[in-house]
Amino acid sequence: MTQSVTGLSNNAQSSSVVNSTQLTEISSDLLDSMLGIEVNSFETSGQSIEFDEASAWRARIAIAGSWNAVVETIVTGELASRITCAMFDMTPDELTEEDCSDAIGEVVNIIGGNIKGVVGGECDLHLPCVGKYSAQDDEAQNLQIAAHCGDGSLILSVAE
Amino acid sequence: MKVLIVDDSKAMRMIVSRTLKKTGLDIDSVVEAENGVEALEKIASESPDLVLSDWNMPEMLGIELLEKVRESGNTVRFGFITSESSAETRTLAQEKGAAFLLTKPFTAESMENILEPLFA
Repeated sequence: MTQSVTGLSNNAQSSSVVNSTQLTEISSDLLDSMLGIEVNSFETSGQSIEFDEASAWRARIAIAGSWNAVVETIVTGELASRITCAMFDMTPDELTEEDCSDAIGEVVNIIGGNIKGVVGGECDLHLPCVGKYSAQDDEAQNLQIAAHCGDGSLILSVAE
Repeated sequence: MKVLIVDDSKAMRMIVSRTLKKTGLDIDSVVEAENGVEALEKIASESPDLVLSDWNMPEMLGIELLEKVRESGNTVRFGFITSESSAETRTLAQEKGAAFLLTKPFTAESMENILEPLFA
């Protein structure tokens, strides 16, 4: 089933401590600098992206302490495969669901850790939670960006 | 140089190992552990020259691993490769005896820059 994320974020442009520029920089460093996946464009919304529930992934990680938030990333199946191939140095036909889960979990772990660094203060970064995307798990977000890489996309959100 | 990579993520262990090999450093062998308990066993059995550990891991945090290593009297070079980049994290790592903290995401260049002085 293909679902757009129209209901995910109605005005997801406001966080008390992080901003869309910081999310864009963190995403770019991860995708481009470390994984070698070129980002074609960023936008401060992901409402036009359609996620296939059969192939897309969602990962969340909580930051708790002096600042509390949940960082979430939703990745299309195409981009999830590219990210996983880049991390494991594999071809797409070699990938398993476990590989993708591990890779997408590491993506949200890195992003969450970097956001925690931006925020500062006494906060703990929890362990990531990863699963296949389901539209019924969509929640309101305070801040959201989307990155487009070839025919795949990624949404990065922060909910306080 | 023998390097022990400690990370619960198989993907990240592979990235760290591959990136190490892209640096100009003299890496003879790489061994891996997926948690702190396994790391303590590998440190005892493999006698690595360098331990590169994640911070945020189930069962035993990287900082707890470092504490146990130092409590045992082992002075192996120990550094963190982690997404945890806050000032508090860096201070705690330094206080416990870590040589460095390399923030994810990283490149071969940033890894070489931080490791090279340790083996000069």
